[in-house]
Amino acid sequence: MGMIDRLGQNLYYLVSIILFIIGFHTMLTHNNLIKKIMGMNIMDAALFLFFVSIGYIQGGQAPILTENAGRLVNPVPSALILTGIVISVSFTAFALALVVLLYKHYGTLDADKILALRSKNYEQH
Amino acid sequence: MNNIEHYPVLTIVVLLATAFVVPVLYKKQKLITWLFLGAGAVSFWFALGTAARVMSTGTFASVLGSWPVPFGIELQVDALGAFTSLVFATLALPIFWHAAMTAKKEVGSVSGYFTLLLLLTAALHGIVLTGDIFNMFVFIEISSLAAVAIIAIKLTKESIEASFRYLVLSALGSGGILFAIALIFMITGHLNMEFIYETLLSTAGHYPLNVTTAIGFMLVGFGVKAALFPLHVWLPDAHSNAPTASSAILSGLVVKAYIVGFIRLVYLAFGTEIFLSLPLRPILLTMATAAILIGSLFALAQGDLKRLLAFSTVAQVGYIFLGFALFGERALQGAFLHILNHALMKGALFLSAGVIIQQTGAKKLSQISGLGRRLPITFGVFTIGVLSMIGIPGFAGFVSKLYLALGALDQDLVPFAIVILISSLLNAVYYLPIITNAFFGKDTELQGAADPPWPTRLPMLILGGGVVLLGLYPALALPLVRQAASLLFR
Repeated sequence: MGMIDRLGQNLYYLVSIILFIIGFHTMLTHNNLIKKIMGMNIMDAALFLFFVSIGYIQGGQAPILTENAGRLVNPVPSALILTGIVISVSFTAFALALVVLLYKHYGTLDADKILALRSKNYEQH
Repeated sequence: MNNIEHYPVLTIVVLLATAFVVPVLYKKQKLITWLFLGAGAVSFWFALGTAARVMSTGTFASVLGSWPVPFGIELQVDALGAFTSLVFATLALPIFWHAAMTAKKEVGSVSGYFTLLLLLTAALHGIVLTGDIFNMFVFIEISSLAAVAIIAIKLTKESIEASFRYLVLSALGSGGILFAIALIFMITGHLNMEFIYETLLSTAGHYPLNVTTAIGFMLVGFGVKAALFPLHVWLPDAHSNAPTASSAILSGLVVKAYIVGFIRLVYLAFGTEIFLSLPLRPILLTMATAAILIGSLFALAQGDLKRLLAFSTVAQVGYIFLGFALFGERALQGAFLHILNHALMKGALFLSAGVIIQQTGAKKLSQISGLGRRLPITFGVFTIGVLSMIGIPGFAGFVSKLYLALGALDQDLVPFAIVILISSLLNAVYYLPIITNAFFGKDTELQGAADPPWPTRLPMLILGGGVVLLGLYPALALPLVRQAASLLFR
């Protein structure tokens, strides 16, 4: 019972760790370049969830000072993660641009095939 | 001057602001070239002022937007930050110059290339100067993205493929660093390094798992970005396929910024007690030794000039981590000196290699036979870089290797001094044949080649001259390095 209670209290952390592992695994094991980028985004989303849930408390309100302000959510992590999201979007955009160029050059999105084509090219030189 | 506390901020701001002006004026090639070089020179002047201030009065803080810490962001300028910032600003000058000379031939978009180089340098200054860990993360991301882009800007098949691989691994590293920051924030509630240190003194004991996990993720994150063996897999392709100026700046400066960022986090945010209480030191020592030996062995097997230089960077990163992990004052001085010396000599090597490739088209080691007689000045600079890499007395590389070896002996860790000796021998084995072949080898068909005109010669000559100057007169850099090393043992 204690174990399940603890898991319930830390549900956000648990979910973000699971998401992190999914993203990490996708990024490193899939050969498709688009899937790699999707993995990267899932990993980033997991980190954002983790970071934001640090500042969250059950039943907390938005940190706007009023007469009868109760328990407030820490706004710092949310503010930081806004920056994090912007960074993640620019990384994704740039990575997708590179994928477009790679497809133009090699005609495939498979990382292994690109590597094979490249090393064949390298030996010919 | 009473406004000197703003100098570190201005070092960054001048570069950032110019980065946004350059693309607007992209049609006026001459103007943006002067703006680009001017921004480098002005930021150098501010970095010099910062270093002078730190030398005279010690660490100082530069508060941004007059928000007091811990709520606002401040630049925490210590001797280590000021020293590395000065190294970056100094090295950026000749490299920028070389970029201005060669950008038209080597890359597609000149104004885009200048913008990226300016953004990258600004972010590097930011990483080593900031006192706020999230601010550091943002600078790390700017520099990662700019570093990937200055490789891809060549738009060849190989460079795009290399930069994509770098991007994916770099994003992985960023994820690790962000996770570490989240774990630190979780137990301290601060983002300012000074406040984290003070809070951790009382809370670290209650949350050992958080601290251990954070340091582990940080090691992996910064390890990937700094190409610490075995996380270096992206580096050889990325550094060898980039345009010449990019290779020099990536190998000489970018990798160092991440190392210094890691050192600053470990010492200033976590403190030495936590560092020593975890098995971090043996792990780093093992990884550094493996980097030094295996990096050199891989370099031995390369047939491509720039790839050889890139693998040698893997080994040299190992030296810096070794000095850091040996954890003695002299070893740290060696590591910091090596940051400067390696930037100088690898810059000289990459720039001269780039000139060789540009003037003759010889990319492979087998093609440079006899070219030393056609390009005496270029190969002269290359020779200076090589002798310094091996650690011949009288060249800069000797001084830092000596300090590292003495640092190892201080700790009674003789094997690591032997590792440095073996690695010097390996360096000699793969570097010297290039020179003997170039100067004394048979002539090949590449006969019409000659040294480039003076404006292109000068940047590499300056770097080569710097290697000799610091080899003969290391006292130039020592005061700041000593101060940086003693600061970390508080």
